[in-house]
Amino acid sequence: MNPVIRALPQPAGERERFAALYEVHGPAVLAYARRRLSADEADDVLAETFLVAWRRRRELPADALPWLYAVAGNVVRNRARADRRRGALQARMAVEPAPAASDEAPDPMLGEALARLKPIDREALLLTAWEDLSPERAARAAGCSRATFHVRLHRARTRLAHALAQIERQR
Amino acid sequence: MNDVTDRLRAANPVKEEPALPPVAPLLARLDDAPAPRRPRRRLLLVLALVMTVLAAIVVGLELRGPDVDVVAEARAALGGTDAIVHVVARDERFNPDGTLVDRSGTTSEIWSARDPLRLRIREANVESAYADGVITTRADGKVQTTRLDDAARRAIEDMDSSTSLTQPGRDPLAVVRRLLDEGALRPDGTAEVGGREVRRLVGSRPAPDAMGPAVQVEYLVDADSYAPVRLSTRATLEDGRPAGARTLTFLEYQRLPLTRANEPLLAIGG
Repeated sequence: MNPVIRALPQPAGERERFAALYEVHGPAVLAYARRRLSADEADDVLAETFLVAWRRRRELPADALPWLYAVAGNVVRNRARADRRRGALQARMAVEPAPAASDEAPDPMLGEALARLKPIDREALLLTAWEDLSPERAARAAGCSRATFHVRLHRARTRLAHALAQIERQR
Repeated sequence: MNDVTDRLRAANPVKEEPALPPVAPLLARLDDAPAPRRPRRRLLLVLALVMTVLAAIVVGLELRGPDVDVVAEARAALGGTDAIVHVVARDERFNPDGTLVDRSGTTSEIWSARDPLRLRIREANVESAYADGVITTRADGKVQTTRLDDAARRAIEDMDSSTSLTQPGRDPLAVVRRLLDEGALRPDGTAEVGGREVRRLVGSRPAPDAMGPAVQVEYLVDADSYAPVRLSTRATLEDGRPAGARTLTFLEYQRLPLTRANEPLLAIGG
């Protein structure tokens, strides 16, 4: 920071508001990351997400959580891309965000079906089912209109059902 | 809800929100995460706006308030506005766990006067001054001068138009008087700091929304002159957890006569 600017008494509370934002929404963002990556990686995603939130704090909407999910999603995808470039097998697992954070997969067929979906379809399903967002907030997290999200969600549910049926037939 | 969604919910691998790592290490990294680069004109506007915040507390003489002794005393202590305000202050910010924020604890020295507005700030090896729409900065021996555009100039010249309980501005004595006038600060006894008798003035700002913290404010001012000694702000979350704190320690506070001899104090190298 420019020392001249730092020398000036600044509006109080910016850091405090950031700390409050972290305390209020950090657990949800961390859970989001852990549903998609390992625990260690999730901690990194949490930190990266909130550093982005600090840099762009003037853009933060009043309802910050969908915005934070959107940032966290980008961080997850960027990490996955970087890992994929390195060709790591573990990275490949991260690209496909099946229930990776769980020690025991509670529903392996569902995980396999999810992995067959397009990423945007999968994210639409998970934002509503795992992050428990309403379609309106999930649309903001997905960066699309509510109408588009509804279409996407309906399509994703249909495709997931078809994928599940296909997997069950194969077994 | 259909079967697929129910099945997805049941397969949620993280049903409970995990424990959150402490925020302190993250706060320590904030200064390394600067805002995205902006055009130079924008930077100047930001500088002007920050300076606006800095000096937002100068109080007009027309302010009227309740018939409270401390208000009258503070008003008398302020004297007229025809003065150079000289402040040396150390700014310390604390993480929620009480540790000092990394690179916090800087000391800055500010001279300022009104009609017309002039301002000089010195911190470490950097000096900056504002006068007549021009910001001059000297850093590492290099002097840079920038004329503000109309909007930026208006912003800085209009610095008296905003104030707040947690923004001491360039003249804390004036802000104390104003806050007492408004009832935002109230006397809460006396104390002793370093062998000096001080008055304790307290106030609070409620949480602005469900996410923002409430802030408790404590001013310690000299018992006789009302010169600021220390401003402490403490932010608290809705559930009582701390969300950080800040202490401004006023190492010096003077109101110097605005004379021809003192006028150079308002310019770089003064």
